[in-house]
Amino acid sequence: MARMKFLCDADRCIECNACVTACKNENEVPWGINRRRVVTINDGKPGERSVSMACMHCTDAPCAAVCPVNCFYTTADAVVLHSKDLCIGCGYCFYACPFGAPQYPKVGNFGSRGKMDKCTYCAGGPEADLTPAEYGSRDNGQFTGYGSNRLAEGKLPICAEMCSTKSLLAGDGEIIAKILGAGGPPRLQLGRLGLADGLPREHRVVNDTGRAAGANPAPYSSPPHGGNCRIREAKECQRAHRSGSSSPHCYLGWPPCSRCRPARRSSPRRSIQPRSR
Amino acid sequence: MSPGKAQQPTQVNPTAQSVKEKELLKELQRIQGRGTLPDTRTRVLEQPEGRAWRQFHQVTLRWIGAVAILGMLGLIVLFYLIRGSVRIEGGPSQARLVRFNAFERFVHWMTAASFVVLAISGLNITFGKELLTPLIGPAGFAEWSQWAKYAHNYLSFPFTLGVVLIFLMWIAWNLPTPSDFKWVAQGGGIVGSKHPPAGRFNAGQKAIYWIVVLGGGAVAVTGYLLMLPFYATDIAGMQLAQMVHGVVGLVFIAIMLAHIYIGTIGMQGAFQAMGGGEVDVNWARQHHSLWLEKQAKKGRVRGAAPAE
Amino acid sequence: MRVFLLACLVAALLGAGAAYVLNDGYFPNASSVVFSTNGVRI
Repeated sequence: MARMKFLCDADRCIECNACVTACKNENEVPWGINRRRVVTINDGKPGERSVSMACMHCTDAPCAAVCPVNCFYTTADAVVLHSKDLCIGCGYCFYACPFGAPQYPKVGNFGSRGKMDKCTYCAGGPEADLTPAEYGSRDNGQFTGYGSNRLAEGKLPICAEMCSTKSLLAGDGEIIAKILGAGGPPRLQLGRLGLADGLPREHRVVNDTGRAAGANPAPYSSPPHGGNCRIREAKECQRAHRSGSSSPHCYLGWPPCSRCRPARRSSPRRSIQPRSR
Repeated sequence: MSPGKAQQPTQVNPTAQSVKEKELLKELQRIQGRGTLPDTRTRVLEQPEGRAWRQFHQVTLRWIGAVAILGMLGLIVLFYLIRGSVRIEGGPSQARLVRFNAFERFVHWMTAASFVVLAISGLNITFGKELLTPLIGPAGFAEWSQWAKYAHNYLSFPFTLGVVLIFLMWIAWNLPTPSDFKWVAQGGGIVGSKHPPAGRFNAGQKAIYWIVVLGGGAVAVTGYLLMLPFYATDIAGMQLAQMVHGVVGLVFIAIMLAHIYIGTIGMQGAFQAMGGGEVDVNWARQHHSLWLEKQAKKGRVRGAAPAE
Repeated sequence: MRVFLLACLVAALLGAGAAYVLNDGYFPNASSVVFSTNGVRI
């Protein structure tokens, strides 16, 4: 049976918060409740990384262990869900969760807790699948239900589907492990495993080092497509140089393409004039 | 010509500073960063101390509670079987005197009644699900727990008020005096028939007083920290507050079991003190002789003269 | 006995009062204080 997991590649995440927004929209998460969040570590420094975090659907869920009324249950897909009917809003699951997944609406003065709400892996709750009772509705600042049940429709959680850089992966743990463990940069492997059509732009290689590492970021030791996309590289290179970049490398970090590279290095290289087509 | 051959040597390896998965798995401290959501608590990525708290709450606290409460119950039963109820020497007389006035009794009973409900609802949080779910099912247990939680949260106010009033009301009689040391040295007369003299409150009662004031204060403070979440603490503070609240509460319950025993079946003539307010003179002579002398001088003894 | 019953009654009344204050918005919009960003009420 498939064990559903989340995986966030910290090297790819660009903290766009699309996952957060998609989750809030899809599940009508009330104001103040954050089922998913993006945390940026070492913000602004070299080695800055961002991670998208929600419920990790643990095998030995600490939330389930400490709940005084046993409102948690694990589905056959290894998704950890809970029942808002049984929840008494004591807050213990938040104390126990290492990832801070449980959230509580503030229904009373001084922030006293209502029913707990958390990431459901877009798998709904104990009510019957795909019913309005399961989806829930607003009730005085609380949400009575669990949001959409995409898993019952055969879809994956909306956060992973919406991730703009495919850093957040969701699905069967074995498939995700294959993607991660196939060796080499993960983005290559997505192409090799035939999953590239899941990518936002096929064959598009975004060199994310250009973002943070400085003026002259270094490319990978070998270009990703074995040099097959020279035309595309040239187009990128031309665009960069037209915009005034004076670097001998184009802004993506690749060495100048053949159309940009001057034939002879007779003059000191100050700026590279793009050749006319 | 492949672009790879025209490559310049690299200066920066983009993945050199990324955190390896192994390091993250070894990470024992909490991981915090920056974020964009208004709730500043979302900046925490991981708080591994949640695992320690889970271990404490599921295992350690339950052991403490079981040992303290069941152990105390066992001790009480043993004591009753061996020593029996402490009888009034010479039997009850007709002479009586007032020990606690109406206000004192009111405060005591308001605190005590609240305490009983708080104790039961509090024990339900820690021990309830294993004990009660087989009896009433998960839905019934959740409903009961919901009302128990309300009772626990709202009766905390009369309990806290009662503790404060008890502190103010009886502080004058609960400061240590020389007779206390003698009383403790003789074990309070609990074994044998030689009973050491004591004032209005003997050393054992003074201990109960301070346990109620300090322990009650501790559960009140931590309880309000838990009830008004994150008002004054962060998650580490909440976990600590819960641990203190749990441990102090369980020990408090165990000690109050002994107090209830002594005040009811453990000692003949004791319950009247808090029940109707008046106690038997023979009882007073036996257990609080110094207090009886003072009261007799003030002419507060009714009925037959306090003869020898 | 009367004192005991009076004490229970007072405890219940205080508890109910606390429930009203904490849940029913006796302090209007007090809950939005904890929704604030950096203490600024929204």
